[in-house]
Amino acid sequence: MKLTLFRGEGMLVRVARGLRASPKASIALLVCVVLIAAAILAPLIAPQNPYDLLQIDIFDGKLPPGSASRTGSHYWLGTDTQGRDMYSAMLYGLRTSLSVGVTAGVLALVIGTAMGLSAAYFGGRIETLIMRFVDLMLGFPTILVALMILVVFGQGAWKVILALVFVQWAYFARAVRSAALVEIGKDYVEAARCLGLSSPRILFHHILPNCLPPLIVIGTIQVAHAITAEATLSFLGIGLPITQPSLGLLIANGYQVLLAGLYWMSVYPGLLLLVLVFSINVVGDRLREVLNPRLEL
Amino acid sequence: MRILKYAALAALLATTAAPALAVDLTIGRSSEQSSMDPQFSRTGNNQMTAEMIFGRMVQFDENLQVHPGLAESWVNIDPLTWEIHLRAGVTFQDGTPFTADDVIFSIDRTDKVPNSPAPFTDTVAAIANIERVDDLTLRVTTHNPAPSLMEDIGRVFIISKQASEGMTSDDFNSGKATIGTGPYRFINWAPGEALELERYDGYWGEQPEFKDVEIRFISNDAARVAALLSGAVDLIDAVPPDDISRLQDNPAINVVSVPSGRVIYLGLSMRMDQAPGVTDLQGNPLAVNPFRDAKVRKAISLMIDRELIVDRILGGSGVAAGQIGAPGLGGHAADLGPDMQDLAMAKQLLTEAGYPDGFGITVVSSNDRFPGDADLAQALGQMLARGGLKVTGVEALPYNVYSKAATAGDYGAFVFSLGASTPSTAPLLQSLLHTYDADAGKGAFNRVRFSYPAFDEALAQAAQQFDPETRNRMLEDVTKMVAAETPIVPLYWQKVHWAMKAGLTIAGGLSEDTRPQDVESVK
Repeated sequence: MKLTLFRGEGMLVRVARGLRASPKASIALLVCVVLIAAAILAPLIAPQNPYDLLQIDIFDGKLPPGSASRTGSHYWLGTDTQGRDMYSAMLYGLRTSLSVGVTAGVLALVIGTAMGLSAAYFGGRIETLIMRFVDLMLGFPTILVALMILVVFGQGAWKVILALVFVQWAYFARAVRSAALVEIGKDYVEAARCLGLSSPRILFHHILPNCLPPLIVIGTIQVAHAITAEATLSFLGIGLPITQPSLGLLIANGYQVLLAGLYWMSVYPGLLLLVLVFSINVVGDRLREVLNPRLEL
Repeated sequence: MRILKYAALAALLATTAAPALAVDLTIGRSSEQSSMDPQFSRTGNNQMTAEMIFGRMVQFDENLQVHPGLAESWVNIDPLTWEIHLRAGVTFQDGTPFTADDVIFSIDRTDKVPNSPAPFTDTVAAIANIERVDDLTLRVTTHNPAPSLMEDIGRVFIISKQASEGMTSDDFNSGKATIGTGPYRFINWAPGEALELERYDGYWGEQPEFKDVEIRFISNDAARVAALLSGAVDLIDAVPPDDISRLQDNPAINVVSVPSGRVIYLGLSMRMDQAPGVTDLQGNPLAVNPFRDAKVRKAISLMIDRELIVDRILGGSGVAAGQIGAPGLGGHAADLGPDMQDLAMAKQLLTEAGYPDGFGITVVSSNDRFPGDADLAQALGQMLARGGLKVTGVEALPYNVYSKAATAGDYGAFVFSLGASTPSTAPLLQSLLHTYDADAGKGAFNRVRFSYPAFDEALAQAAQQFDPETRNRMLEDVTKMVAAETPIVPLYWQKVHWAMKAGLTIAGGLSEDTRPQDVESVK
């Protein structure tokens, strides 16, 4: 079905118009697009594959930004202790951070939405069970729960994603449930029920599309959260493996030598992480303004 | 009503006054003991902590030479019989006198501590019988002539029979049984956080300068340096090599550096038919364990550029090693240099061994045991990859997890270290390279399960020599003989650094211990 909300205007059109109206959000969106493209194209644009032990050389370790390598090229952002080109390492780190963050965010969205919709639609015991569990999840500090999961299951990209999904789905479930409760009381749902449509059909074809605006907003913000949480876990040394650093692990490695004056190993990945998360949040904020029916643009 | 008010006020004062207890010296230490039971594990961390609280029959100076401790003198009546005279007037920290019974009890318990990851068994393996002559005299008979008997049993920490009979390692951790004759008394241990100690005023030796001492465990290098710079701690150990020059330039900081007897090596496990982490080029297990072939071990040694590691990873804080015993120890073979990188020769040896295209290998190491350990593992990964192996992974784990798994044989290629705590190389060779024999206490650290009977035999003969010069010459020969087999791949000997507030100094030595009794104000 066509998504017609708000004065008969298509949602995508409204979003595009809303983003364009704010220069701040437009720039942030542009930054996001550039960073995502850089992450996807990392193997093509990075001068070096920092995960290939044959391409890095500790002879070139700890070089400050702008130094020449032995082959005559330049390390514009310097090298780390192992001799990795920081620019290449950051591109690959961005790739890792983004893919972990987006995968975790999308999986949490899918699981959280299913749970939230079920709670709202079926009500009764199912709702109590799901929502009390959601309350329980929201009561624990995110990092603590993720830490425990990683301690139990061990390190690795998929385990980090599992931990992040586990701590994030509850946010989606709560938001979807409240949105769905509002929709369920409306006449069109009543009408669908009278027509004898099946529960899944009503849930996914009629209620869900109308719950999308809050979901999109939370989804954006939660991807940013997932990226930050992954960086935190890696910084604590229990996230991803040491030979394939994400942005958080690059910062952690650089932090070890920060006091010795080798600032570029942690400051540059830190700045990149800051820019990435900040841009996603700005876009997310703007989406919230655009999609909120109570706010008129 | 008024009484109540005063009571409330008094209670308030009491609670605010409590945290103000002054600590005279706070030490930031990089790694922590795994237990307060001095006989639980003989790793450097555990021994270092035990030396603060417990006494031993002999003491080792900064060059690891032996001096009388709780034993005042000893005589060798015949090659198999010794008489040991104990120091009079020594008391335990609970006030009870120290006697021959405590020594016998301690030696007897040495090889009976359950679950010990690194037992002291070999320190008492030579003893056939030990008997009490009187309160302060012992007679020891040995199975074979044992010239180094006092160095060996002298390493056993003496615990109080009265306080620790029937006690477990847990009772030591809680402090219930932690009663020694050493310079400091146990107050409290919060694992992962701090150990609190108080000077024992009844200590028989020289009184340390600082009364209340707190030892904080800060494994993160940068956090430890930051703690010193912020004044949260007075002294730190294991200063990261990158920070040395900047700390030396800081007038508020004093840096003390010494060469250490600790050798850092790469172990290649021959223990199982399939070495963990070692595969063919497609990632499938190999039919045989390649590390059982001396040619493969030598080839790996030839892939490593030790000078580059010392220069790049350690900032010069190390000496490339070609054997286990550091220069200065009796039995160090001066003419046995480190392997120089030779990739062509390595390739040839691999081809001769049947691996012309190499094989897959995972390198594992600790990440908080000694400065640069995680970086070292990654650098080794690079070098082995250039040498023609397929490096499938490099893992760096916290030491408390890592050492247990390494001892259990979970790793194929792993970075480990061995600290020296004796005047000669004999105990190092015996614990690291002797055929593993848990009952005899030999090869306690032989995690790779290297076995070479002719070497075992030659080492035993050297150890039975009473004349130190003959013994050291024989140890040199044994060292060269076993080096031809590349039982482990020696990498370098550490240089260690402490940094402290200006006005303090530490008497550091080959054993690289960080002990409060060695810290004093500069006069």
